[in-house]
Amino acid sequence: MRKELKIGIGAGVTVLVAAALYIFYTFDPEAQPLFPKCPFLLATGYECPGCGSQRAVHSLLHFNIGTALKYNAFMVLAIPYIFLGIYLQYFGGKKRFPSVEKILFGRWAALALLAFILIFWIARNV
Amino acid sequence: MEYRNDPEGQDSRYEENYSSTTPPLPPQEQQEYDIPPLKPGNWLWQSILATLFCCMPFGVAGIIYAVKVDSLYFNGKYEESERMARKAKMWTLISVGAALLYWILWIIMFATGNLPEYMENIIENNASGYNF
Repeated sequence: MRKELKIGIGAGVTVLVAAALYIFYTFDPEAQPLFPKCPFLLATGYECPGCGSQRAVHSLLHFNIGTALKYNAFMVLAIPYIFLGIYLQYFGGKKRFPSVEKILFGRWAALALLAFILIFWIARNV
Repeated sequence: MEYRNDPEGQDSRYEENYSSTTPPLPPQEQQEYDIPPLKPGNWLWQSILATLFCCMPFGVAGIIYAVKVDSLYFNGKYEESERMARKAKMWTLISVGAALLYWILWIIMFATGNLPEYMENIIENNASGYNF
């Protein structure tokens, strides 16, 4: 991919994320019906692994970590992991720390995460 | 882009040149993976992101394929691993696309006041917050 294109995509994503964070900071997904409800929840009545993420993001932006954990603990715990993934993939971390990539994003990590998500999915609906 | 050599085209040209002077090269099957290809990206954190924020169980499908990418790669099945990586990417993107579509539909319906009645009932009944 050309370098200018990469920078353009990066800038676009940054602007979108900033706009989304601003919206999630200003409006409370709990009170505003503007935020879409989870289709899986609407269809089945059960919460999916991502349910509560919008409210959790709102709480996190207001530094209410306890509330965020209550809405979706998995999302709060996954945020550092996702940032690590972005760093490894797009900011040269892969070359600098190949062993970290292998351990935390390898097959056992993937299996563990899959198991954890499935357990979390079941446990939050019991 | 235009100046990049097509590796396959080059190979066939070499083979033609060789065949006139030397006996045909032995089959390359075994030599092919002496230097294994780079491990394809397994889309693990992207699928988790999609599972969490796109609220689509499709993201879980992406994670399942991420598991397959790595286990196939370390068993030496590079081509299959590559194929699973494409599937992982596909499911992650399906998840993101479906979420975008759903969000846009939701906003259009909300703006025009055409939210189906059952959705409005759900919103009213769950004022305490079943919003994902």
